[in-house]
Amino acid sequence: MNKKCRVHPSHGHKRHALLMICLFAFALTLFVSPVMAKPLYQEQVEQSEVSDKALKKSLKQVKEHKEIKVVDDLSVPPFHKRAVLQTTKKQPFCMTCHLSLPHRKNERSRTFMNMHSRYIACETCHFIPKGAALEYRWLAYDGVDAGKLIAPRRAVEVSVETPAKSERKHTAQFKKREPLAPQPGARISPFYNDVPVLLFKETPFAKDIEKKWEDADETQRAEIKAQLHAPLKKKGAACKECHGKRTPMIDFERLGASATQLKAIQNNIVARFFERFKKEDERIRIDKLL
Amino acid sequence: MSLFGISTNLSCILLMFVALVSLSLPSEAAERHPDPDGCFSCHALEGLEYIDKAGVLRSASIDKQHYYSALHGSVPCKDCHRKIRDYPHKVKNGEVDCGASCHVEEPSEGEPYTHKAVVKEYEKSVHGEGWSKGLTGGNRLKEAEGVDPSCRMCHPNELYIGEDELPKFKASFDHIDTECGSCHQGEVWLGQFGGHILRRFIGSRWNKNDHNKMCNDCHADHKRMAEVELENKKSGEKEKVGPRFILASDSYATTLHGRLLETNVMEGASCIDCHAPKGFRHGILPDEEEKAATHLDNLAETCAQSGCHGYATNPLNHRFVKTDLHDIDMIPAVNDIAPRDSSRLESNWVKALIALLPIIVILGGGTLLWRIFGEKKKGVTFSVLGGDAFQEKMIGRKPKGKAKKRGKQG
Repeated sequence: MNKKCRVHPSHGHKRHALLMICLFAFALTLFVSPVMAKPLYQEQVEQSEVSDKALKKSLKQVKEHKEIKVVDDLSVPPFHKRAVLQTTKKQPFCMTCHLSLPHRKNERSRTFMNMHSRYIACETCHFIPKGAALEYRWLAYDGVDAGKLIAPRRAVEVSVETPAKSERKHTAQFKKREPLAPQPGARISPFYNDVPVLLFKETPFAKDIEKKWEDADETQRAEIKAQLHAPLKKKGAACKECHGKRTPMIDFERLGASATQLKAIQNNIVARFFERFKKEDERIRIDKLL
Repeated sequence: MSLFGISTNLSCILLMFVALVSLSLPSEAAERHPDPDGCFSCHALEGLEYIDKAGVLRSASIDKQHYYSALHGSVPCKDCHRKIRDYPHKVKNGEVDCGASCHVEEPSEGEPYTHKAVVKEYEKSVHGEGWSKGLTGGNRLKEAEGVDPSCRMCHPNELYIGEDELPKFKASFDHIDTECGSCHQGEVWLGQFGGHILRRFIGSRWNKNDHNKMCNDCHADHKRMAEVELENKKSGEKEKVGPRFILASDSYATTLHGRLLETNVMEGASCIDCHAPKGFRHGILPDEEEKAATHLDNLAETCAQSGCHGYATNPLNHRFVKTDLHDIDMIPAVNDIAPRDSSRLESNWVKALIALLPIIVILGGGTLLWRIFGEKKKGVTFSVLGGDAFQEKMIGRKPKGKAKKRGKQG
């Protein structure tokens, strides 16, 4: 027997309503989904207008640029033991052109700035847009969850027993502090609307720029360079923005800092020492550090 | 006369009293703080790095735990980097002179410790043009351009007990925490003093292979050695070294000395066992110099040194010392640097070949002639001459030819 399948009219309405709900939910997801949103840095690069002055400066820099070949296999070894240069699975877009240790010129601050690049994203200091409230969170650059937001380490206050005098004298110096970073290679990175502001090297935008750069002549390169640097500040945030203020730029408690760690960050003797410098070429006696 | 208005006698008594009290009080030994200048406030931070103008990766970070357990662990930074007062540091102020004395006292004599005597010996040696002063983190590149080794090139600030030696050390002294540690507590003591003293119980700091490795770091590098120029004593001019010098490490490796050490048999002589057996073992001199341990007149004594070839000093064995331990002819000619010219004709291999040549010619020629003109027999695989006897007596069977003949006869 050949039976015809009939649909009840009320069932048709229900199906239609269900379809509408699904479509609406999908549209809503698209609207609020952070996955689909562009990183703020990319958005600003695309929107920014480059001034003639910036373009001129950029052209000069492109013309004067000299490629640096990093030498690290000298036949004369360093006298003191040092750690090997850190590399991460994910590399920021900045490193397409900049060295992994980008700060080189300022004799006073270069090593300290490069040290910070081990646990702070470039954009944290150099991308501070007006009118956009950024949040600073941990972003994995390494490991299985590289490129993802990661939860902070749970702040633990360790009660340190007072050691015997002899023990204190000899071992206190080796007590390693609990790291603030939740995992090796994690960096404090700016987020906007739960989306990382920064780009990694392998993103389509980064690859596109790299390709354009390779094919470009000097003038075009100057344009690309100026465009990419338009939303950035050459001079990053000052030390005191994190190390001196009672309400620092970064919410360290949210990043998992214990009260002790917070105190250590805010009362950092090196940062305090740096505040003593008033002139660019000034030298200060080290005993002022103590 | 009065002292602060007190009579002389009374002041004398007072001074004597003060002196007596100060002598009778137990004088507390000055506490040795390993970082009196607070350098580790910054330098203990990880990642203080930058790339300098020449592209050299520079690091201002020092692994604190490694430093305290290393050879210079008790030396405060400013004992070497003497003039550093300001930040940013002036490069010149951080220059190190390995021959200067430091504030650490040598315990047996109570005098400031110094490498001065070693540096003096080194400066007179063949490597004396290398750097012992003016060393900074920044001039490693410039130093690497030179040929002579500097102090730091061979001697970085290494651990008292190397990581590879640590299991051996721990097995030998697994009780140090309880035995020594009951009085000497703390990781610094264990790492530094414990290491320093107990290291001697498990052997010297470097064994012969370590010595050789140190020499081979440069001498096995043919490219580096090819750049060496030595002064010609006759002309006084500097000349490029020859293959014998460039291949010195290779030729040594072919000797019994080299081969013994390669298999961890410590009876072999290391490079400095022959080239600098005395003093601080830095005084390597050219063979031509009278004071050189490798000068022909001193070789017998050098070879006869403790535990080695004692008979070398016997006049009857005078030819023994003429054994060439860097015989370039021991190195296969396939080596790119080994000469392939007439100098090879002086080789002992050639002399031996000349001596053996007549025998080779007679035997070889005879075999060839027999092959060409000799009588060939079918089915005979053994030599015609004496082949049957060989089969009968040595193998114990009847030669095929004879067996066939007998079969026919039978």
